[in-house]
Formats: sequence, structure tokens, C-alpha cells
Amino acid sequence: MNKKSVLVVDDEPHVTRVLRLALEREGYDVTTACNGVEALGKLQEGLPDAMITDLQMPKAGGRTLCESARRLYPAKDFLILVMTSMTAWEEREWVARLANTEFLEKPLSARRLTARLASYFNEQPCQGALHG
Amino acid sequence: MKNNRLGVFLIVSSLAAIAVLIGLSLSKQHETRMEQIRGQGIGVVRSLTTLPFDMLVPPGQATSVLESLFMFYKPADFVYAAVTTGDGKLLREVVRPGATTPAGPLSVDHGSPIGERTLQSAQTNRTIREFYGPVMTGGGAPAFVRVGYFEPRFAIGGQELSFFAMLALPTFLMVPFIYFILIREMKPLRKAYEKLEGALGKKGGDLVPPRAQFDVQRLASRIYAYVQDTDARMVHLEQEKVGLLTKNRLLEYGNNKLNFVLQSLPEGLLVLDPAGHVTFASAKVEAMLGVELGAVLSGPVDAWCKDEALKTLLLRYQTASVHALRAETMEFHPGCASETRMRIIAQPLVVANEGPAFGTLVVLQDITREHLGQCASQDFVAHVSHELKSPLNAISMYCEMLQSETAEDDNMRIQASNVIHDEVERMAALVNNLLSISKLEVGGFKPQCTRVKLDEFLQDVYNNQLPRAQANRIALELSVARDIPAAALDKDLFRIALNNLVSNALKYSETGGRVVVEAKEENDWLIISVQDNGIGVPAEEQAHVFKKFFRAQGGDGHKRSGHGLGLYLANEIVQLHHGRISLESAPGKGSKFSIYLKTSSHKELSLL
Repeated sequence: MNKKSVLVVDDEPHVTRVLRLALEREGYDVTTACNGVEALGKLQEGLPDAMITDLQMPKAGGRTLCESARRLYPAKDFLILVMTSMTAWEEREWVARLANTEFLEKPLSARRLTARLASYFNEQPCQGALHG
Repeated sequence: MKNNRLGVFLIVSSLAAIAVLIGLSLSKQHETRMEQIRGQGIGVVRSLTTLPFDMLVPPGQATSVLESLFMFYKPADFVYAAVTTGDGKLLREVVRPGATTPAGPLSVDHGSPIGERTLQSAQTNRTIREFYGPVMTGGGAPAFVRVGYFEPRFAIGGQELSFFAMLALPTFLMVPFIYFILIREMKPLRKAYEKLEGALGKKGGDLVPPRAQFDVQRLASRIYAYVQDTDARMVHLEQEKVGLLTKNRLLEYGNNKLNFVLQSLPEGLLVLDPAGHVTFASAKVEAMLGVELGAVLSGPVDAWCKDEALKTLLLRYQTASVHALRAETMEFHPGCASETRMRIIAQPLVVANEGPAFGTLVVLQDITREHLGQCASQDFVAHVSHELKSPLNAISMYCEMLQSETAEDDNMRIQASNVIHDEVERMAALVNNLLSISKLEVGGFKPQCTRVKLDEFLQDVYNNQLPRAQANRIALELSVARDIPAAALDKDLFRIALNNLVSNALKYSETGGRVVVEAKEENDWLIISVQDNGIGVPAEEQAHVFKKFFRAQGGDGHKRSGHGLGLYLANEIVQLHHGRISLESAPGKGSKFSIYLKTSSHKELSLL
């Protein structure tokens, strides 16, 4: 079975670094982007099995990224985890409206993240090779 | 004078007039008659005395001249014509019927030849006027011719009565005529009198009930009383008027003062009547709501109110019962000035907490500052917590990593420790900056200025920043003019400012870059500058760099670490020292931040 691919999107280098380390140790294939635009570019290159993104980023923020991703690739369903330190109600609304999109509260715990990913992938029926 | 008295008076006076007329006429008559008689008498006597004696007293029974004369000639008052001797012996006579010649001895000595005397009639009471004259008898004593007339009486004869009646009648008829004229003329007076009585009676000034009788004297006295009374009242009214004028003026003054106070209030005020019309509006309302006072005062709320929310609130107060209403507060952005924020406090006006509301008081407060302050404060809190969450996030993740198996990996451990250390430093810097900012913003923060040697001071800063510069392989240089004067600075604050500038320069420089710290004096200005050849600041962002939490995005799209507070703080500090910071920058070329301080003020340490 191929490794699952995860796209990590955050403008904070520490976050991307730590997450990359944590996820790679769990056996995921990790790509990173530091803003929404870059992330969309990476999505074009190849859709991941899951995407973790921060909300507040330069150029294109987390919301734009998620909504664009869902609009552009409706057939392909992949988990989106939205990291946020702001628990504003507006954020809950649009996140709830998107399919397969969840919050991930900061401060992050790599353990929580990997646990969530694992449970998500265990639920999925086995799929064939994904371009990753 | 009473009417009947007037009548009596008129009658009496008319009668008197008539009597006088008649009297005068009679006396005139008498006089005339007397003259006549005298004329006649004397004439007759004179002519008779010229006749010879024989003719007058013919011998025997022959007719005397007397008889023939007076047979046919019988004047009205004629009594007798006689010839007598001196001692009164009658020689001849002609008498009127029923009369006799009165005895009346005469003598020659009696005055002039023709004389006149009065005698009493023997038969009647009447007086006789006798004219006599001597006649020569041809020897012996003279005889006398005597002619007697009755003196006219004051008696009214038959013809004369009709004459006098005709005289009296018109005179007498004048009486009722005059009377009625008078009555008519007095009618307005009567009316005036009645009115007066009414007026005076109404006021109760006269305890005696008005007399029905019209009396001119009473009228006069009433007029007088009325005039006096009116006079007194007018004086009283004048005084009252003066008093009222004064009171009015005082009220006006008080009102003006009150109005002025109301208009001077920083709040806008509106008073609505129960129908929702505005009865009072202070001038501030115009500016606050963007409406015209004229429109506000003339039309109902619907007409002039442009803000829906406000209109709805005000219309709710258009009812009578106080129990349905309470004070209401609302905040909104007025349409006319959307960047401001208004608070409306509407409250029903009632008398003693009971009964229907007689109006609504609306207070408009401009709470823009308050609101902005709140927003800024909320923003600030949001920013700060966001700023803190990032380092905490990193620390938490690296700690987690240290706790896990990867702790075996030395590199990971070192890296984790470094990151944790950096983030802690970052948070510490943030907290320090925030504390400084909060102190500055509270205000009243007086810099404790001391005389500072700039070369030493800048050297301190340089030493402080050198490790970081070296870590990033950036060349840090210091250049201080030799004769640079000392400056009056708050050392601690200024250190923060300068450290911020230098650390910014280092942060936004590439590896191998160069940062120069320079201090020099030029034209009364002390200039401390920090120049780098890093990524620079785009032109459109240069105006914003000194704003709180502002972080330039930089050309490479990467967010550099930092909270956006450093420059803000530096600017505030420099301004506290009565200086300014300027920025020259071009993207890709670098930035130069220059602090300008006045040297002249540095010599006046005591003023700071």
C-alpha cells in the first residue's frame, strides 16, 4: 500500500517543520506550503489524502484555500484539517458547510493530529494507488 | 338734579320770565301813558289858561268852554276839568261820571304858572295827577284851571290780556320744548350713568345698590369715583406690569441660560411630544445625525429621520402610557457619518412617575472614541493572544517531540531546545514591548532624562545586538561623530527604541548584509540612523510601518518573525523625546531609519 500523502500548509516554519517530522515518522508522505496560493499550486500537482492548513496566512488564507479546494476538486474527497487559534463563530459556520472539513485547535499536538489522521484513514475503504 | 326738579325749575323760570316780561311791558306802558297824560294835561291847561275868564266861567248857565271841550273829548283817564278859586271854591267843573273834583287849595305862589301835583281820589283809591294853571279873573284873586287824570294803574285790561296771553303762550310753550330737548340731550348721560353704575357695582366698589334715578349730580360724582378708581387701578396695573416685565425678563434670562446650557452640552438633545413631533432640538443634533434643525422641528419623526433603527426606536415612544415604556439605549452608526458611532438613550418624560408620558427625552452621545477604544482594545487582545499562541504552539509541539522517542536523536533535541529558547525569547520580547506600550499609552509617562554620552550609549546597543548579527552573518557597524554632544535621554526607553531599530534592520537583512548605526550632528539636529541593505519596505507600506501590529509583508512573501510593535514603540519613544523618526527605503535596496533630536533642547536639561 502506498503511503498516504499529507499537505501541510502554514506560514510558520516551526509548525511545518515539526509537523513534517511527526508525520514522516508516522509514515506519511509530507509536502508543505507556506500560503494558500502555494498550497493550491501543490494541489494541482497532486491531490493529497489529507491537508492540514493554518487559517491566517499571507496571500491567501486558510478559508480561501479550503473553499477553493472543495470547489475545484469536488469529486475527490480528502480530509481537510483547519488549524486555528481563533475560535470565532464565523469560522465554525463555513467549516461546517464544507464536506470533510474539521477544526484542529492550537496549540497543536502532533499526537492528536496523527491520531486523527489514523482514525480517518482506518474508516476509509481501501483505495487504489493515488497519485501522490 | 332730578327730572321733576328740572321741570319745576323750568316752569318756574319760564313763569318768572313771563312775569318779568309782563312787568316790563306794563311799566313801559305806564310810563308811556304818563307821558301822554302829562302832555295832554299840560297842553290842555296851557291852552285853557290862555282863554279869558268869561269863557271858562260864563255867567249864568251858558256852556263853558270846559263843557264843550270835554263833551266830546274824553281821554281815557280823564277825571275832571274844573275852574276853582284859590281856596278851592269850585266855579265850574266837568267830571267823569262817578267822580268829583277833589278839594285842593292852591295859591299863586305855587311855582310856575303851570303846575302838577298828585291828589287822592275821594271815591276810589286811585291817584289823580292834576295839572293846574292860573287864570286872570280881571281883578281879584286869580282862579285856577285844574285838569285831573287818573294815574295809570298796573292792571291788565281786556285787550291787553289777549296780548299778554299771546306773549305768554310761546314763552310757556318753550318749557316743554326745552325740557324735552334737555331730556334727549341727557339720554347719553343717562346711559353713561347706568354703565358707570354697572361697572362700579360689579367691582363692588360701591356698597349701595345702584340708584334707579338718574341724577346729573350723582352722575358727576360717579364719574369722579370711576375716574379715581380707574386711576388707582391703572397705577396698580402699571406696577404689576413693571413687575411682570421684570419677571418676564428674568424668566427669559433664565430660559436663555438654560437653553444655552442645553446647547452647550456635549450631547445632542431632542424632546418629543406624545405625537412624536420634536419640540426641542439642540444644535448638536444637526451635526450628529446629518439633518437640518428646521426639518427636525417642523415634521414628524418619519419625515426627517434618516436612520431606520433610530426611527423605529423613536416611533415606539408615540404612545401615552408610561407603563408600556422604559428607557431604551441603542448604539448605531449614523448614515451621515458612518465612521462615527452614536449612542441613543431614549426615555419617556413623566410627571412624578405616574400618568401618561408628556414627551420623550432623547439623548445622543457621540461614543466614537469609546467605541474605537473598545474595538482597538478588542483588536489588541485578539492580536496579542494570536501573537502568543504562535510561540506557544511551537513550544508545545517541540516539547511534545522532546517527550517522545525522537528525544534520542541529538540533533532533534538540540534543534528543539533552540526553537524553544527562541520562542521563549520572542514571547518575552513581546511581553516587554506590550508593557512598555501600555505604560506609554496610559499617558503621563514622563521620560526620566539624564545626560547621556551618545558614544557609550550606542556602543552598548551595538554590543547587545552583535551576537545576533554574527549569528546571521550580518556585518554590524557603528559610526559616531567625534564631537557629538551629549544628549538628554531617558536611557532605558531610548535603549528599547534603538534596539528595536537595529533588530529590525538585522531581521530584514539577508545573510551577508550590512547594518550601519551612525550618529552625527547637523544644523541643530542630532541624527542617529540605522541603515541596512536588506529587503526594504515597499513605497505603499512606508506610511504604515509605524502603526501598531503592522508587519510589512516583504518582497519574498515570507512573514518575518516579529510582532509589528517594534517600530511603533520606537516611534512613540522618540516622540516622547520631542523628536521624530524618518524612513528612507527602496525594496531590494534596504532601509534607513533616522532619529532626529533637537540639540538646543539638550542644553536645557532642566526643562525636561
